[in-house]
Amino acid sequence: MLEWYSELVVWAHKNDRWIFALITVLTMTGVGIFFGLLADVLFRLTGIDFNKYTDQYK
Amino acid sequence: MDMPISGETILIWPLLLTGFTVGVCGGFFGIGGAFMVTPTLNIFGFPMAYAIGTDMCHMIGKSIVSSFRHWKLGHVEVKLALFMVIGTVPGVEAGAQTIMWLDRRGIAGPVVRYVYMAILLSLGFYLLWEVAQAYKKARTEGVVIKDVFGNRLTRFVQRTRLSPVAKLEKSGITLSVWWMILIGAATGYLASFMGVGGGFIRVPALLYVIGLPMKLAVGTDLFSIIFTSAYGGFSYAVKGVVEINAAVIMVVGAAIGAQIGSIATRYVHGLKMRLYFALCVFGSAFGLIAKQISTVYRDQWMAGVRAFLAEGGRTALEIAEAIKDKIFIQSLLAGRPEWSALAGKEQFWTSLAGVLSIGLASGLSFIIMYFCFKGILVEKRTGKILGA
Repeated sequence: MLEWYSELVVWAHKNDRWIFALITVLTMTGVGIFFGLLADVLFRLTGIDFNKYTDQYK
Repeated sequence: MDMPISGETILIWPLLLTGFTVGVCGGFFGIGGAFMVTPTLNIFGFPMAYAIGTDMCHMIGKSIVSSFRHWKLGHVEVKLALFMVIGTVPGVEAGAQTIMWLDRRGIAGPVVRYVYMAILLSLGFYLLWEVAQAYKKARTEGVVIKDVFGNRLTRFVQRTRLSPVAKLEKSGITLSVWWMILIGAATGYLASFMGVGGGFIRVPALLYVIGLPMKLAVGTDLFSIIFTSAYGGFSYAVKGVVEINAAVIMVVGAAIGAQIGSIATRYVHGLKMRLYFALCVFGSAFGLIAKQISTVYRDQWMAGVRAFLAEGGRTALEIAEAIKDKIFIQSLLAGRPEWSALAGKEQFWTSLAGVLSIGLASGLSFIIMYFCFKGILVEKRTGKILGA
């Protein structure tokens, strides 16, 4: 899978920079969302609700 | 690990560690951390253009992770961030045009560095002064001050309600949409002009122009960085100067670090965050000063080399080509002790600038991790939230 991905990236970089840019931005977005959600699941194991507000600003 | 695009061979763990360290600082201060990452990647062997492009791309993933956590903590003013993004794009383009105009006159480098230094130092001193005032007030009046809210400029901006206006959900501030767009444009202009991501400029703008509390400024800035870094990352990728494998490895480190940095904001009150932000700003300014000193030494020995080559009958184009040849330059320096000494001083100040950036990032990330883990342990044991 990783080998296939690397080949795709190198091909896109050589042949079509717009596809390369699209792959780059989508990859980074995907990794960001994946880790954001994964952390949310893992944090539930700590027993602390990290999603509640701690300060009131109004 | 081989980098397929730039052809460099880079170890994985330094990339992971850099991502992690900058992730911690980024999640806590609301900055992209380009001033730390770019010189570090350059030291690891990335050509400068690849260092900037790769940093910009890894920022996309990192800012998604951080702003997701800040959003959950209630630290993101979504409306404000989105209106700011509208202004940022023309601001960035205008900044780039100004740089090109200065570049044609051959003064872009020094002008940018001096403006950057002046802004960072004034910001750092103002932040320190403000924190000192708040602590003094807290001591004399015997009250706990968690954060500073607004100043004269803030009150003026909040009173000028040119239609359409929008109410910010978390802070309760009602503000003209035009102000939001204008701040996006102004900070985008400055960020592009100085060649930085913009967190250093946007967070203080949100604090001192709009009057957001520190934590909301951090969260809102990180949310807007998602869009600006996606735009920047796409632009660099089209130019082909992004090492995607390195960016992915850094995002993995940054994703873990960003969680720690973001969660630490839950346990530290805004005033203390301002104090550490001031340290971060000062560290960056001193790094830049060291870099500027190194440039002065470089200009001195380079002027000697140019004059020597010109005397030898070379044209301007040939001189420019010769200067790019590192082996040729080294052989020239070896024969001239005065040039060699200047080059040595240049190397010393360049290394100092890099060490300052990396040292600052590492030191701050240790402090932030301490806040985070101490806060979690206290909350687990007592149910009390530190700094709340």
